[in-house]
Amino acid sequence: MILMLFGESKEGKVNRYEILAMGLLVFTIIGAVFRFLYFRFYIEDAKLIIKHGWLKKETKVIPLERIQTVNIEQGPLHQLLNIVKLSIDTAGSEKAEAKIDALHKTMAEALRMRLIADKRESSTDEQNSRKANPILTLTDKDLFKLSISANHVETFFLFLSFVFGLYENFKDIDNSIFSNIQDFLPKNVIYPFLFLTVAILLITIVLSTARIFFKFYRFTVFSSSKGFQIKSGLFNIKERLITFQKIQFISWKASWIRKLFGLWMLEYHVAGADETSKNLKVQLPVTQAAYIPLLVKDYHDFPQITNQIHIRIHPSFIVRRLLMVGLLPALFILPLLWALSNAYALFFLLYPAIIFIVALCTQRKFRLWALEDACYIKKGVFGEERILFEWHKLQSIQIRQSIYQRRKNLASVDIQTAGGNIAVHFIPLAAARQVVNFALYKTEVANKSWL
Amino acid sequence: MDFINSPVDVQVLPHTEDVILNPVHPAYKKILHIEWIITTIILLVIAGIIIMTSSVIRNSYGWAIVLLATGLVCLLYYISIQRSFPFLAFAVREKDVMHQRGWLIRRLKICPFNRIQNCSMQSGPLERKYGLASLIIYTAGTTGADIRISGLLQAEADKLRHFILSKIHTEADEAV
Repeated sequence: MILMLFGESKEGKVNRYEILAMGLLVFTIIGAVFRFLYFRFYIEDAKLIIKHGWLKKETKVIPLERIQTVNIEQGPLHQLLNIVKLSIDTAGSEKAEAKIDALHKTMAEALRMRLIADKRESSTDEQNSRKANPILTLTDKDLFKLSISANHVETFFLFLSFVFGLYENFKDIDNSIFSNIQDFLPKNVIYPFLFLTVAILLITIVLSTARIFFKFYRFTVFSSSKGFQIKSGLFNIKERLITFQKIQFISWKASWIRKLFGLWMLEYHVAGADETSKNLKVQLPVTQAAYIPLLVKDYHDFPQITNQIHIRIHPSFIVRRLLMVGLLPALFILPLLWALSNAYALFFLLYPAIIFIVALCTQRKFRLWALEDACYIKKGVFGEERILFEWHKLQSIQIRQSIYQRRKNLASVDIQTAGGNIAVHFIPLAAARQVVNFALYKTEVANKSWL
Repeated sequence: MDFINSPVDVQVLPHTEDVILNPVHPAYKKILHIEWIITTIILLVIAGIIIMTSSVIRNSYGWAIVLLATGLVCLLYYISIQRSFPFLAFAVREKDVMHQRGWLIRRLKICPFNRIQNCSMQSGPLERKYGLASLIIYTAGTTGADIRISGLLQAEADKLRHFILSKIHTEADEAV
């Protein structure tokens, strides 16, 4: 639009398309202005009422008791102007039930207090104590350590695939150059290949470091009676309130690098958020393992597991994984690769070896404690992960057996919750059945709410 | 051997493994067969198109491989229908619904009544022809937490749906 504006003034001629574009621009601006003018919200009768819309008028009514949490977000523009974006989550819904795109900061905070305070008819001292104590912060040094130790591998492979996609395109453009290269010995191809890979590696490390840095900049956790208030971000500041009721299960993990730094990443798996909706994830970097019980205790007491019976993955898991995931695909892919290039085929032999090592580590680390009210899992491959799950939060549960598992009296269990799935592989059949029966008993008899 | 760390004696709890499951209606097998026929026809047409359009495949013995592969896939599909049908079954207990399916990988999914959000009945054109219906039970879980019971008689499905809906409402009243 802007370019067209300049283009027009330079040429002095008025083109039909430019008029259309200008018209569209003006129309959009007018629309935005009207949307701004026709937005009203107020609280009446313990209900939040939002009226908006210019051509199509809409009224949204949200009973205050349905409001689970009120989140505040600030993009870079918002930060400059000291305004915030308010979003309201209600029970069980995945995305925000209502959004108010621009509010003055103090007004937003007052509104939030009003919206949440009405939920429980509490006294004013609760509102006073809202400027609650930060219980967890992230120092700049720890933030840096966190960023460096991020999962660069994921970004690396994404980037790699992107770059090699481009490489293929270039190849088509000028065949002559590349056909000469193929006549060379493999050595001459490896050096530029290696150089490219290293360059990509460095770029991805910088990118993912930056991403984590911006996400957890000035990370702070405030404790309030409703739950935890989590604030973080540089370009995009997010402030979220996590009510403990909404937490389905908690997991905390540390990759092998993060373990060296003593950093853990704790995640509250809340209703509605699963692996696909990254924005809804609630992740807290923890700089000392000692903080973890503090963050967990409002959900459930930190598990005492000494001298308790635990369930382990059966060793045959390793062989089966190697066979099904490692060797079987290799059987198909290896001949194809061999036809293309012997070197690539040899590289691919690494794949089953990697699968084997991963399966070995997974099997050895896994432990499951079926406690009175919760399930505590210790797992990991090279790093460590713990999961704490209250039995009654399950939505449905599945026990499955492959033919091999049936012969060996083993089974796998999938626990489905509103915050994601928890999978337990290759445990003894008797253990799986007991876990399933016990979990169902706890869910059906206790009659505790999961939200 | 006990794997649960709880004073509750796990042996006296209701056992999911002991429940006698009700198989689905045998007419459902016919529907699966018809679906198989349709899929086979589509796959053969696709294979035919691939052979016709690609001269490379036509000249070498590629066409035989393509046909063989298609045939193999259809055969495996048929075998899996035959083998897995006996295991399609479900059960309704006092506090939950169970559904079993699968041959190579046998799955048993259980959903407690007090976690069911909603329950609906669905009937495709084939199902309607044979008087069958599917029951879908929605939970608040993420992907894969819902239960879909196919192959029920329409009357049966309707009765089950009303039963589950009434159970949801009573559980909701009892719950906190």
